[in-house]
Amino acid sequence: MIFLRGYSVVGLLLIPFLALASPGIDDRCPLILESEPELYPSDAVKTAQNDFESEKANIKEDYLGSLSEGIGDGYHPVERKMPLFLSGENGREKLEVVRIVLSNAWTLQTLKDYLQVMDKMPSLKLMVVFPEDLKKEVNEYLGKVSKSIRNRVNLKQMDRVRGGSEWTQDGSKPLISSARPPLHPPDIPEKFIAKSWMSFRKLIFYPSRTLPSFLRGGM
Amino acid sequence: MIIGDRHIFTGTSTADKMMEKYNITRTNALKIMEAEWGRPVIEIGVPEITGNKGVQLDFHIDLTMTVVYSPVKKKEVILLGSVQKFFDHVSLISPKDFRSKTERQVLKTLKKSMKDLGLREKRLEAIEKKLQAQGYEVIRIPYFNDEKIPLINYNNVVLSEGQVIFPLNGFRKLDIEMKALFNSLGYETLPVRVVQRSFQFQGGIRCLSETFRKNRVTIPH
Repeated sequence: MIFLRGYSVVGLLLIPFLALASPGIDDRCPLILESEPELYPSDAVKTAQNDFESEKANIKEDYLGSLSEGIGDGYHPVERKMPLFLSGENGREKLEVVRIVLSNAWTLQTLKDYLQVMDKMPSLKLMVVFPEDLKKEVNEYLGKVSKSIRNRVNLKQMDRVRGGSEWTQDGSKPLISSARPPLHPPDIPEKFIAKSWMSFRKLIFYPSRTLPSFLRGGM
Repeated sequence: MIIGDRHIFTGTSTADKMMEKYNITRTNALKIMEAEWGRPVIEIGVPEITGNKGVQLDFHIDLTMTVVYSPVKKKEVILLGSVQKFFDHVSLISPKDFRSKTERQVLKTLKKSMKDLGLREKRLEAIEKKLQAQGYEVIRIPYFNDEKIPLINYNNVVLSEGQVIFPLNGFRKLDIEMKALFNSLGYETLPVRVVQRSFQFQGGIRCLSETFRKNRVTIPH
């Protein structure tokens, strides 16, 4: 027993050393290492920030280049591990949520239609976006339906709903007398914005994963 | 664009815009869409007689056609608008029986736009052949589109697992016929009175609804 106890004590004493010698431990326990400020000197953070800025500039340049140069030289298909996953709409999949935008008085009929349909679709949820001046009518319509339907309706009032935004399935629907929504993508693609934000977030909150390995503390 | 099990359907205008923007051929434009969306793309439209551009029959293709999975037939079928079918219906009605405002408006403009509508029908026939060549069963449904009056359209529908939200168009007999058609395909019909103003702006209930569905069907790419 004394012999075994001796081994146990030695084993316990060895654990911290083994842990420090283990490769890649910073990845597994980032919170422990991130609390040690000496591992992340301010210069290293600055370097990483500069790298990030230059990467951002490159991405933007590539994208703008693709727009101006045409497919042969400049179009870079978005690199994905798999294509976009599109939800089927041929009736095989169940409709879960519908979002409608009421931009003016004539679109109120859409709300009326859906309140009627929700009676036959007991799990359907409805999101309604409407401007302040239609508040009275919207509440009036909702007051006429049963509580079970009302509970499935989510209302979002906006100060002003832009004309044309009622075409929620496709933003490029034409309008006869009001401003058309843009038909072209924004100057900076969404993917770029998302990627930039994620990189920035990573840099601030998880610097150990962002910095090059030789700056992380040498494991 | 319309998402089917086997194909993505996109309008000729979309392909034209890509061609113009990136200075590419039509084939390349379709290839890029295919890569982005992971399924073969079928362009809905016809080539222009002169020039490189195509002709899309309606502002968006969801006004021209509907892709429906029929649980009864156990396959996808396509509902494609037919001006001829609409004429057939109208010719059976005596003008004095045109009671609703929509019916009267249609009758007024019918004679004026016969020539244009004939050309539209020919183009629709070309699209029908294209879809049939891809192995689809195509069902032609009444349809009328003229700039001067609201659309008569049963294509702009919202589908959900055995149920279909479809617009009533103010032609009673046609409304009943379309209800029967959806029933025969295995769908419970939930008719809605989409305002005619909406159709004047070239959009129906589908265009007015942003829909979210949980993916329950796994489709191999």
